[in-house]
Amino acid sequence: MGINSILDLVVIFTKAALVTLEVALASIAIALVIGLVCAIVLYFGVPVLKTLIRVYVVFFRNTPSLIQAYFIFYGLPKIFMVLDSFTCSVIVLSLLGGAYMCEAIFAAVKAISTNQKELALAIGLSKLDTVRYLILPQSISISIAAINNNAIFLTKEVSAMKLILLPEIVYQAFSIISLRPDLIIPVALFMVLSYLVILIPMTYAFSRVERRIRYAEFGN
Amino acid sequence: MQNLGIDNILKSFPRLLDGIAVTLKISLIALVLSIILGLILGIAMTSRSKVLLGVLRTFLEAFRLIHPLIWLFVFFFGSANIFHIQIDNVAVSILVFTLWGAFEIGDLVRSFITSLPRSQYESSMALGLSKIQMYIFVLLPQIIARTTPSIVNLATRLIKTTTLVYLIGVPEVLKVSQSIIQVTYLRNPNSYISFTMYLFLLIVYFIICYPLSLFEKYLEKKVLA
Repeated sequence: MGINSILDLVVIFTKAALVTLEVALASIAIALVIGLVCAIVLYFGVPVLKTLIRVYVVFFRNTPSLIQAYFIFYGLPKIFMVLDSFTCSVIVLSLLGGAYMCEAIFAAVKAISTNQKELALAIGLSKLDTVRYLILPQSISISIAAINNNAIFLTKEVSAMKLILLPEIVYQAFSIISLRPDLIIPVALFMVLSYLVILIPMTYAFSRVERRIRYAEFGN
Repeated sequence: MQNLGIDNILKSFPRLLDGIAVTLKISLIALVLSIILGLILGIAMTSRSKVLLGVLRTFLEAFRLIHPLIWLFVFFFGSANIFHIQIDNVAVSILVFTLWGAFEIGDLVRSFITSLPRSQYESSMALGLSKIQMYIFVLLPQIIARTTPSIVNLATRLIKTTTLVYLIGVPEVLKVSQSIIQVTYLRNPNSYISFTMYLFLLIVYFIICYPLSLFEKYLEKKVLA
């Protein structure tokens, strides 16, 4: 890797930041879907699925993401199939995030008053309509802050996927430093800068979304 | 059964236990130190000095924003590269996780102190307590009661995040298991050891962390009640 000017670093870190962003956004989206579906299943208390989801959530919340990644990246190929590091990172982070999102959204579902649920029953809403008009909008607006926190957490956790060789920001930084130890300070600066470039707009966008949803709910 | 490598895990079980002990040791020391440091930082964060607040806020955001993985590397290789001193890798891990935990706890303590009604300060002043007495006899017991669930939560997160310290060469359980995996592959390339070993590690961590999170839930209920 020939690094002759600051421009080379800019190119490398832009690419790396894009990888981080892609993995982060993909896993946030999938995690949100997993979380929503799991929370709704828990709400209806579907017999076997309910237990399975509880086990899944508890298991993923109580084990290190690093070992989950190693298990899927190095362990599963032995009995199942080989996955590339991008797919593997998205799978690990989606499952991890899904567990956290499920917990956050289900807590919100529980916070919706029983009155409303009984009313929905009384006016004859079908299960699908109850979810669509009652559960979904309110649970999202109650749990939006927790969802945002989880999303930021997932974005930061992408850097742990360095260890399964995902070419993201930290991975690139360390591979440059191992070849050119003299560049340690500019590389470190670029590493921090790349994270700031991703995280600051993200937190800003999330706080906008949060305010919007609050406005929709409370009108202030 | 030979291929699954269960016998290898059983054979090297004492070494794995040593690894787990290292993980727990680092987490426990870091937790105790970060509770003490966190209390001090939390009280410092309620001070009126703008400079002190700015510095502490910056560190807090830095530790929140930047993954502990990067901090480990910065402290371990940075100290060698820039200051030309070699710090023991266990000490670096404890240092990084202590700082990480201390700022988390500090922020909890700060938000709790600022949420207390003013009457508490006024009544302790009316009782003639000095500032230090007020902190020790009035605020500290409340802070401890209120932050315990979050501290238990931090403990589980610490235990989970300390897996990263194998990257700077600390012989904790992941490092040990990777060397066992390598040796097993050397003897028997068809072994399923990496599958079995990582599954085993997941279960070990689950056994350690799950009781802690149950305890956290229990404490939370108690505090809120």
